[in-house]
Amino acid sequence: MALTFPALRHFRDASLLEARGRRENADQLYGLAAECALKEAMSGLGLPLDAGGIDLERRYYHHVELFWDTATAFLSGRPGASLLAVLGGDRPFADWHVDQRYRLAPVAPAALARHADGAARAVRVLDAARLQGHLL
Amino acid sequence: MTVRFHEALANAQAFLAQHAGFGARRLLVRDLKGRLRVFLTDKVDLATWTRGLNQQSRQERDRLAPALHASLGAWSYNEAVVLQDAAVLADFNAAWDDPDARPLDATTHFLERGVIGADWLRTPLPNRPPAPPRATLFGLKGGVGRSTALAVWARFLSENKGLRVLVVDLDLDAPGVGSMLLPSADHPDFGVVDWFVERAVGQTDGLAADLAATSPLTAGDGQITVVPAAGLKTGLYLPKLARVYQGDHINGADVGFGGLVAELVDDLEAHWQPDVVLLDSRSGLHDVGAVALTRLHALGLLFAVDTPQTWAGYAHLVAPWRDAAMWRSDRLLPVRRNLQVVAGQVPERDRDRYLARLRANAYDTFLPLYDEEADAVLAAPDLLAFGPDDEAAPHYATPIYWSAVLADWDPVHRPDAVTAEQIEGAFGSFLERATELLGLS
Repeated sequence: MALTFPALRHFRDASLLEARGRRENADQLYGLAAECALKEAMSGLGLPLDAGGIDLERRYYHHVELFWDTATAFLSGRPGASLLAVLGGDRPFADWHVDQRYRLAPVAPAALARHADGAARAVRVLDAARLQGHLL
Repeated sequence: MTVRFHEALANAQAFLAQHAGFGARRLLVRDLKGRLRVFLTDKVDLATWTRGLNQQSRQERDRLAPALHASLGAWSYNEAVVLQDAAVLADFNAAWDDPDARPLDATTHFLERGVIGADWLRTPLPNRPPAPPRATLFGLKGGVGRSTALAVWARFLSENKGLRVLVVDLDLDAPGVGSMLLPSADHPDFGVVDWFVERAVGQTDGLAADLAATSPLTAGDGQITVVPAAGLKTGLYLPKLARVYQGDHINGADVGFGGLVAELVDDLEAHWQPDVVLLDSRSGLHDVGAVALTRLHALGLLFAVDTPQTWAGYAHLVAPWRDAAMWRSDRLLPVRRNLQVVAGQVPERDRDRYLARLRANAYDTFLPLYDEEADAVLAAPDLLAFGPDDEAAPHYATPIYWSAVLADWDPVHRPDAVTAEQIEGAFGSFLERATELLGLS
C-alpha cells in the first residue's frame, strides 16, 4: 500500500454519484473517501510508518469501519485535540464494510446519509489538519 | 538576515498588496507553528471539483513563489506550498468565511490557527434566547479584589433589590468565588468542570440541577445561587480541567470553547431562572476571559490597579481591535459599548490623585476602542467618542476603596467582621454604577 491518499478525488466522485442517484456506489466510495481522508490527516500527525519508511504499518491496513476508531484514539493527544472536535464522538461507519461492494441489495437512505456525513466530517478533519500546519 | 515572527507577516502582507490583482480570493494562513501559506483562487465561489487557478495564474504562481518564500525566512515551508491553489482544500469557502478569518483588503483574508485566543476577536454569539442581564468580572491578575466585589454585589442585589442572583465561577484555573460564597459542606454535587466533561459525550441533560447551591450570603427577598468550579462528587479536578478547553463542532460549524460556555450559561439560566447572572472570569489573556467578555452579551467589568503590568496587559487585549475600520465598525460594537473599568483597591491615602492617574492611564490604554469624530464608517449615534474626563466613558474607572478590614474578609464564615457602613464606604460607588449599567437600578 503506497502512501498516497486521493481523499478529495474519492469524496468528490462519491458526491457526484450520489447526486446522480448512483446510491450504492456512492455509499461504498464515501467509506473509502473517509478512510483516505483520515489516513492522510493522521500521517501528518505522525501515524507510524513501517520499517521500510514508505508505507503505513500493517496494523493500519484497515478500512474505515475500524480505522475511524483508530483515528479517534490517535487524535486523543495534544496536537489532535481540536481535530477530535471536528471528527465528533459517534461512529458513523460502524455499519459500513468494504465487502458491501458485492452487495446487490439497495442501500438504506439513512445509512447513505450517515456515511455521507461521516465522510464530510473526515474531509473537514483533513482540511483542519492542513490549515493547522500538520500537512502542507 | 533572520526574519522574525511579526516581520514575516508584514512581508506576506506587503507581497499580497504588491500583487493585488493576483487571484480573486487570497487566504493568508498562519498555522500552529506560526508559518505562513497563501491559498488562492481565480474563482470567487470555488466549487469543490475544479481547479482554483487558471493556467496563466499557475504560471504566475511559479514565478512569484520563490521570492515570497525567501522573504518569509523560517516562516515558510517551501516554494511549492507557500503559494498554492485553494482547491487543495476540500472546502476553501468555509475557510474563507471562517469566524476567525479577518479581511485585510477586498480580496485578502487572514486566518490564524493558534491554540488559544481565537474567541477574543470573535463576535457575540447569535440567537441568544431571552435571558436575564449578565455581567463578567474580569481581571488580568489575581488579587485585585474581584471575587470580594462579586460577593458584595451579589449580596447587594439579593438583599437590596430582592433579586435571584446566579453566580458562576469560570476561573477554573484558580477557583475562588465558589469557595468564597459556599461553605465546603454546602457545595453542590458537581461544578463547572463536570459540565464540560459530560458535555463532551452528550450527557448534560438535567445536570444543571446538580451544579449549584444556595449561598448563606443570601439575604432579604432575593437569593444567591452559586455554581462553583467543582462540587462534592467531582473527585480528581486536574483530569477534568485538562479536558475543558477543547471546543466542539456541531453540524460542521465550529462552536468553539465560547460556544460551549454560552451553552453552559444558557442551561443554567433555563433551570435556575435567575434575575441576573454574575460570571467570575479567568484572570489573564486566555480563552475563558475572552469568551466571557466578548461572546456572552455580558457587561464587562475590567478590574485594574494603577501598575504598568495592568496597562501593558490591557493594551495587548485592545490592540487587535484597532485593526482596519471595516473590522471595528460593526463586528465589535456590541462589545465595545459594554465595558467599564473598575479601579480595584484604591488606596486610602491620596485617593483622588491615585484615581486621577489611573483614569488618565486607562484613557490612554483604551483609546483604541473609541472612534474619532471623523470616523465615516459608523453613523453618528453609534460612535463611541469620549474625552478623557467623560464620566460616562468606559475608561472612567469606578472606584472600590481598599480597607484593612476588607482585605481578609470571609463573607461566609465571618460575615459580621465587616459593618454595612464599611461596605458602603468601600463599594458604594461600584454597586451603584455596576447595577445601573445592568439596568437594574
